[in-house]
Amino acid sequence: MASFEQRIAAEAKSWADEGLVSPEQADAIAARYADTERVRRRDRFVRTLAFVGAIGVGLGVILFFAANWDGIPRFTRLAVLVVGIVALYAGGDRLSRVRPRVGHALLLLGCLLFGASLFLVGQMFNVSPHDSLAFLLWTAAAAAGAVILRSEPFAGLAAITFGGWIAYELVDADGGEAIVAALPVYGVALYAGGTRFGVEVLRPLGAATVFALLFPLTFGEVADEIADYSAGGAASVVVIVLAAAAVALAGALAFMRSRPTAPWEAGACVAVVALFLGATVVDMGPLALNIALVALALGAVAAGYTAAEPWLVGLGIVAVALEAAIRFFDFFARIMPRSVAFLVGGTFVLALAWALERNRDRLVRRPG
Amino acid sequence: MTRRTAFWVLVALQALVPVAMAGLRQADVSFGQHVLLDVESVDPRDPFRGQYVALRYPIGSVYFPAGATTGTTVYVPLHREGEVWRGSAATTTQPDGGTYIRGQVRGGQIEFGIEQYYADEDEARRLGLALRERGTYADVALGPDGRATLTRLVVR
Repeated sequence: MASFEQRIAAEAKSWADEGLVSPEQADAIAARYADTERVRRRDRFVRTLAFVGAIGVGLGVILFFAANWDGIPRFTRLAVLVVGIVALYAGGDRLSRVRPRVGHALLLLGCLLFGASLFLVGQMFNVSPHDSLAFLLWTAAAAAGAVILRSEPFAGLAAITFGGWIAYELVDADGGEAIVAALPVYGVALYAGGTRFGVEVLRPLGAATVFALLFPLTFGEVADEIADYSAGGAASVVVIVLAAAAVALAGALAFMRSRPTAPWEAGACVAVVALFLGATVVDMGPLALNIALVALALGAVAAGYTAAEPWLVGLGIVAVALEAAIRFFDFFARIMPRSVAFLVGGTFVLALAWALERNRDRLVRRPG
Repeated sequence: MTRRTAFWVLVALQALVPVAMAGLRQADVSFGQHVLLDVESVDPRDPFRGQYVALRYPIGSVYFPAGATTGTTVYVPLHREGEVWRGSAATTTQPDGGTYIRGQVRGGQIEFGIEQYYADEDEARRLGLALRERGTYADVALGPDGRATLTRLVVR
């Protein structure tokens, strides 16, 4: 059955044929409905479906290869990998012309198979390749794909694999604990860079990384342990370079005139970098870190509301709700009788959810 | 360079990288010197690559210079004792001649990049048992700069 947009386009053409409107007016009428929110939503759904499918196939390939296909000669395995990479890219390129979303998903799958091949060649020869180098090569391939294909999913893959490189490099340098500071600082760089240079996929990745790693620090014992840890030379260098990059990108964001919230977001980015670096030096105590988390989450809600970005509002709401739930079980339950604690805490969380949801609804209904 | 050319260059590079990695290793296996090394076991699973037997080499515990920290490349000169090759100390400078193996300092030990032997679940279990109960050696191919590739485990 033809969609509303297809029926409108057909109607507009018949109006033009009957001389009711000019051909230009018919085109303008069809174009008016071709880019509606409904169409955009359907496009997003198809794209998500295609990428979920590609990731599913990619994982299946990795697991199949990982399941020790010892019966197949070594060079046949290599040929399967190489032919697979080229075939996926060629197929994706060809399909992109007629089915762009599915074609693009195949291109991404080609890059996933390339990453898998870096590890699988090591398996063929019983060597442990330098994992961090493999992640760096994978990042380079995905980043080049992002530039050449102007692809957000490739940019997202590059960001994730580069995060993998940071983690492996720190573990290799006996600085695994520094991951707690390095990854959120990297998340700040992703958010600031993604916002400033319009690479949308980097923004939720960066913001989610920051919140996910700020939560553990809100527990007194974890914050205390991180403050006691002193990173070695290589680990410190990685964290400092990431912090410098994050602050530089936040600086670039601050001067983004087209975005009214940019200076505030840039300030929050610098504050988060300072917070994580500070947390590795002194024990800030749970109170300051909890206040920082709530302030950041409410800031995300405010920025999302002002910039009409429901995902940012949603992220802030989830962070505040999680924080309230965690603190409720962590704190209130200790100082009140259980029944009162549940009543007070539950009412508080419900009221908070209601207030935040109401603002989110307003934003979603807002035109534009 | 047009976008289309750049795309195919990228695809070609991505196809060549695994071929080059495999080619370098195969050259070591085909043309490098093979040595038998003493080996001991541990046995986990690698989420990326499946089942394997994790190995430890006595030459990974030899003396290395105090200045060698995590990540430092070291070389262990090897000498032959019967069928098996052993080492007694590591240096941070590449030896001028003789047989030697290259490794990196990690957590107070030397790792050679050959600490994993991939096998299916049954074979991994059988090898794990053999490593604990019988004399087992690693057949290792050495590249021109001491780079090691584990070719097989020899159970005696």
